[in-house]
Amino acid sequence: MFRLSKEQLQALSLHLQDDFLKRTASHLLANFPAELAKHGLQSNQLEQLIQRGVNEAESFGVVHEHDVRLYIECMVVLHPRFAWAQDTPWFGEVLRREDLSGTEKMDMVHDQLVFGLYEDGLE
Amino acid sequence: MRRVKLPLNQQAARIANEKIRAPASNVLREKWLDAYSAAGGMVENETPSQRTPKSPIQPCTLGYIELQYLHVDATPVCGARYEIRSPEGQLLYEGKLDGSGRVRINGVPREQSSFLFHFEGDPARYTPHKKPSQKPDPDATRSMVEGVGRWLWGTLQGDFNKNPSMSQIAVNTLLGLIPLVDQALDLRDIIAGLKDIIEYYTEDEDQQKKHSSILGLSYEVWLWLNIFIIAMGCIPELGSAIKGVFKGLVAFLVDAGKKVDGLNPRQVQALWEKLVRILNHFGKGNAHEWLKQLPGKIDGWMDEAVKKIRTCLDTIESLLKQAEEHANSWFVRWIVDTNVLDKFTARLRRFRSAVHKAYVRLDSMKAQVNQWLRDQFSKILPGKHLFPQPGSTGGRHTRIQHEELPPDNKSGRALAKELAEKRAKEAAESAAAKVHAKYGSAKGKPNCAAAVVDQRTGREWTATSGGGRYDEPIHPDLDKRIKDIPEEHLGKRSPTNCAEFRALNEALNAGARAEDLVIYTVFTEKVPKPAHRCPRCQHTVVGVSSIPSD
Repeated sequence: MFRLSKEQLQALSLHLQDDFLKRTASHLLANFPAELAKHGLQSNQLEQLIQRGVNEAESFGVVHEHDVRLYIECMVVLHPRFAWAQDTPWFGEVLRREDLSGTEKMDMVHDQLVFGLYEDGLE
Repeated sequence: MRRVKLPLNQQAARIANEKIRAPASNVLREKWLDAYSAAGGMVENETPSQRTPKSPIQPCTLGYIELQYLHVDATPVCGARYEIRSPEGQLLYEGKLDGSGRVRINGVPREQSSFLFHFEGDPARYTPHKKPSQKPDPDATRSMVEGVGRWLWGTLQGDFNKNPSMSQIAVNTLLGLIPLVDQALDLRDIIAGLKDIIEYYTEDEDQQKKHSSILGLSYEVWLWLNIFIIAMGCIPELGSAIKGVFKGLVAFLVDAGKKVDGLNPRQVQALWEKLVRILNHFGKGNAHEWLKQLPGKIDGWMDEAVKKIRTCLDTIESLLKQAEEHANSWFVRWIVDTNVLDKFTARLRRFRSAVHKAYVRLDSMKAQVNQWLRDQFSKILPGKHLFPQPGSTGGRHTRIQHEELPPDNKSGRALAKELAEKRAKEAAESAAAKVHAKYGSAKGKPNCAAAVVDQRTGREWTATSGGGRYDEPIHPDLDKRIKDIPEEHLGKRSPTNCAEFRALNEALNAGARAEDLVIYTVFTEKVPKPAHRCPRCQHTVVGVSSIPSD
């Protein structure tokens, strides 16, 4: 049977982490140039922003790749500290809920962004 | 839930909004996403990767294995042993199935995604299905006696076909003589087998020597083997299973054309599987165990069979004796010509002498058949195997036992014919392949190849069509038939041009009897296809068993 050693797995893990940073950075550069400019973010600062986004998201229990990517997109579209921003309190409240999984939280964030479903407050 | 891929496509969102406003329910949400997607917006995959950016390599979650084992009738095989092995053969799990014939193993590592499993050791003893008890049936008795009568008349009609009143007297005499016999149907089957052996004993020594051996048995023992198998089938309760297994064995070996020690391991395994399937048809329980114990039981079954065969020989002897007495009565002597009657009684005496020989040979034949069956089974036992099946984690694997009907109740002579047909086909195809290898698709090559096999002696003759003049001496019977071919069927070619005519001519010139011959003809193509007789051969190649039939 084909087996991977611990060292090989570690190297693969580092490669995949780096790959995520690069993929997300190029996605942001390609699709959100106006938003990046608005926040005065240069391309060399992007990886730092993404790294911070990964850590913040994790603190809210948001860990899966596609959820984290949406979290980082919110940082670009709304505000780099949207979870603490005074003008968007709803997002912070959702992210701090303990009865929801990370994916459920980001589903609600998505629907708020796209449909404005929760404009009148949390259901 | 599906999500929109950001950034939002404003135009697609506007179109979707026109169709569905504020999709508050999941159904409307999905419809909105469909509309958005149809308008050119990008929507994420419904089942995104579970990878995390910080720990992209996750330990595997655990899986499960669920197995179920059922009888042919879908009832559970309770308490049987199971074994689960890795594809490399390492034992992973073992144990016993529960009362519903199932086992579930949780906590199976995901990397163990595929495995092999098998069941064995069904604790239930093999038990044949119960059949309704048979009552003496007057119709069955009558049909048995009619059968014997037709046979005797069939053998005697050569002498009496000019005297129908004699034939009627003979048959009616036989019908009136036999009392109501229990198990008449069973006896009828045994008597059908005994007809072959009695006819064999009426042959002179030279004729008997010409019969070829079958599956390593002399023709005599071969005929007796089939009689013993039928007779063992009459043993109460177990009979059908015993006969089914032995018939299955013989049919398999006839088909393979060799004894068990000539089979390769795969064939032995296939034979074991076949016998288990036959047993599953007749009963329920541990068929493997029953087969393993079979050699130790043959002695007892053979003793039972001998009793049945003696009863049948007694019946035939009684019929023949009374027919002879009747033929000698004053009434028959008064209406039938003395010469004809003497011939008839002489033939009856020959039959009685053959029956007597069958009595004398019975014990010796029993010993030889017993030994042959034991030999075969001692070599089949290593074919017992565990029917391993592949499986994968995360689903239920159900194994249901299979069943198979035993082969038809054919006589030894019918099986010998089957063997000859198989050989004729192989020989014809082999001759066709040689022609094709030599000539390819060249114009003027022989079109057909034929093989003739003598089912009595096992001798074979092959021939191909065309190839210029045929200078072999033509057998007188064939010569006469050529002269009788109607002009409209003659065509441009000579009847001696055909492959089947030539093969048959050689066989007849070598002294073979037409009624013993099996003939098979094929076209000499890359893949030889069977060829039907041409209009000329339909007049010349007659009286033999021709395949394919026209």
